[in-house]
Amino acid sequence: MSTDIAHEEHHHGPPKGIGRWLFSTNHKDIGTMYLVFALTMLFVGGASAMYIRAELFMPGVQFMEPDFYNNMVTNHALIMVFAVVMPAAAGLANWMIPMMIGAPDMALPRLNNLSFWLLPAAAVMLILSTVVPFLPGGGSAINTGWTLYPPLSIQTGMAMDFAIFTVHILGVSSILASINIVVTILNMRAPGMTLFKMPMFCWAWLFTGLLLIIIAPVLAGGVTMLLFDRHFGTSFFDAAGGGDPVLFQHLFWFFGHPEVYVLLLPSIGVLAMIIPTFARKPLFGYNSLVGGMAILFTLGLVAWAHHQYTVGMAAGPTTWFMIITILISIPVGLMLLNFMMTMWRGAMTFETPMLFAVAIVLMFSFAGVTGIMLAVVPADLEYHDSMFVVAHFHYALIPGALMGLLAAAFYWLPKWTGNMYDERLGKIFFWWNVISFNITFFPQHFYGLAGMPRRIVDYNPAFADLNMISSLGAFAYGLSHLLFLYIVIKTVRGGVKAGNKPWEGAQIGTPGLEWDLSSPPPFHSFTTPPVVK
Amino acid sequence: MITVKAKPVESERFFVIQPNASLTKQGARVFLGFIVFVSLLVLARFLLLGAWFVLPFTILEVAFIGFILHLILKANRQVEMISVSNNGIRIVKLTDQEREEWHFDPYWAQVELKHSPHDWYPSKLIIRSHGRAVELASCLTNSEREELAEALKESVFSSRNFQEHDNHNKQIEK
Repeated sequence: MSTDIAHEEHHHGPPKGIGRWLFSTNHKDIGTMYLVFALTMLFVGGASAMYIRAELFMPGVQFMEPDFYNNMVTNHALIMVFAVVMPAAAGLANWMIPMMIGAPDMALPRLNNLSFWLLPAAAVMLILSTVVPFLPGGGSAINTGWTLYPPLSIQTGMAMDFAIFTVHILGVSSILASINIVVTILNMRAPGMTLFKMPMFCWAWLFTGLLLIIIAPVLAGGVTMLLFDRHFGTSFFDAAGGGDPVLFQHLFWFFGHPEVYVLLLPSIGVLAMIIPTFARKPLFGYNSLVGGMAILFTLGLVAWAHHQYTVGMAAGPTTWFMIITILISIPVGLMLLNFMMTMWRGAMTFETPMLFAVAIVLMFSFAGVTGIMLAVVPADLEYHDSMFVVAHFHYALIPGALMGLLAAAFYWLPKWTGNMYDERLGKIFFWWNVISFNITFFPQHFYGLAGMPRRIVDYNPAFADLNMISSLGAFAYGLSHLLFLYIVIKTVRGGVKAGNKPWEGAQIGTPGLEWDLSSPPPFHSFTTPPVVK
Repeated sequence: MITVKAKPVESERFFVIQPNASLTKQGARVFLGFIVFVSLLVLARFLLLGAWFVLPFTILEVAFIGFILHLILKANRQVEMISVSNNGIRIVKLTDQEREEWHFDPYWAQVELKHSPHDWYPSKLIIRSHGRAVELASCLTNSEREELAEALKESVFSSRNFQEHDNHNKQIEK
């Protein structure tokens, strides 16, 4: 008969000083660094959004040159996608996945350190891309938007080179993080933790990681070709040299469209944890949700050119991309149905994470409806490049990605810090955040449909009133995140102590092992593998 | 994650150290095969369109994933067996290709846990005697290694006591 060696206490605490963070290989420390980085960049990206809305507060050019406006549009997108949502999702994965599957750490801890520390380097590079145009001989600002379409991106000043290297570094960081997370899920599960017993957040990240592994080399290839066109005399995208600018669009959107699911899936995984907890019912249709994610993964890889209906593709491919895009609504609808069925007749309570979860289901469904409108080719020819598209993807990405991450922060803050957050402030934040979000983006549907184009600094005075409402909403929305920051700091500093399982309904349905650990968890999570029955 | 077992058989304690591995060789093949297959499909399409710069990045990435899986599977297959009894300490390390074995006298053997000054490097668990040293349990986490070191020290100490007791009995019999 064999017996496990007893592990009674954890006497290996965290190292002290800055070295703890600089050289850390601990998944919780690295997770914390990811989350702090993402929150910091949320305010940087948010500042650019505030500038955009201040500029659009009234018709006419208010503050800076139009190029600077477009630079801010580019930076806002790049920062929010690559430096906020992706790092925050990676931070959640780092913190929670090893604890959920009963692993002591990530499979490749040193690689984990590297993939995080590439991010600040990329952020500095991106900030430099904004600064460079102001220096003598710096050339023009990046005025392409995050899509970096040639020929404009070939003609832009050296700021574009900084942006290209930013994308390279962020890509390397994402690939390394994805490989690490996927390998951790595949190899580090505790005995008995089969794939189909995993918490849904792990499944969501498994698909996210696989997607990133497949799409990242295409973006890397695309921006490298752009770099070669700019500096080494090639003509991949230069029509004058026999190249094709539309080829870049295919390369970009082959990455860019699945990237949307990279941003959404971790939050869907979070919802699949939160809703059963606060509905006190097992997740409805676990297997179908996994299946839905698999279908989303597959269709997401072959739907990219719906972003390019107006470039003049042949009827065959255009029809293909339209049909596939409409089909995507089926797995997404299935997921939302799963969440609603989980809530159905549940003993629901509405703590802040659950409030966010319900709001996300509602608002993300709205984005799905406008998404169907945009998927239909004849309609999209009308809506393309209008503020309607801006409203659509902000309804998809803010509830679908960012609010999911905020909900996750409220859900797991007690576990991370050992303290309960202030529920009253949490609820104030929720209502402030959600109402101001809708005031910002809902009017954009109307003036978008009425013909206001996106990415242009000035607009027809006929749209002035609705733009003013949007801007006021945006200022309120931006400010609401200061309250979030205050709540996080307050919770970290103290509060009512949280138990191992701070939510009554935690662990209903899925045997996530994170609730077996203390709050906050020990520096090393599981020193012997827990057995899942 | 690892599995550490102590097997008390009278005066003998037996430790098996191996990493916890939920990824089988076949599972790794399926995973790598899937990545290679999908990446090749994507690569073929973009090569046909003339975007051949996707090729080096895809090759680099797939090769890196292959290398990582190779390292992980190799680490998964390592087994270390330590038997501590009054007859001695026997250490067997098994990998795919080789089997290594060491013997130490518990009276002279020292179990030493060398902490790294920095968390960047893991600690080292070493058994040494008469100028020979064997590093053990490198697949464990630091805290697991600490606990194993304690258990080994205790076992070695018990076997020394057992030997003393045994020698004492023999002297009385004489």
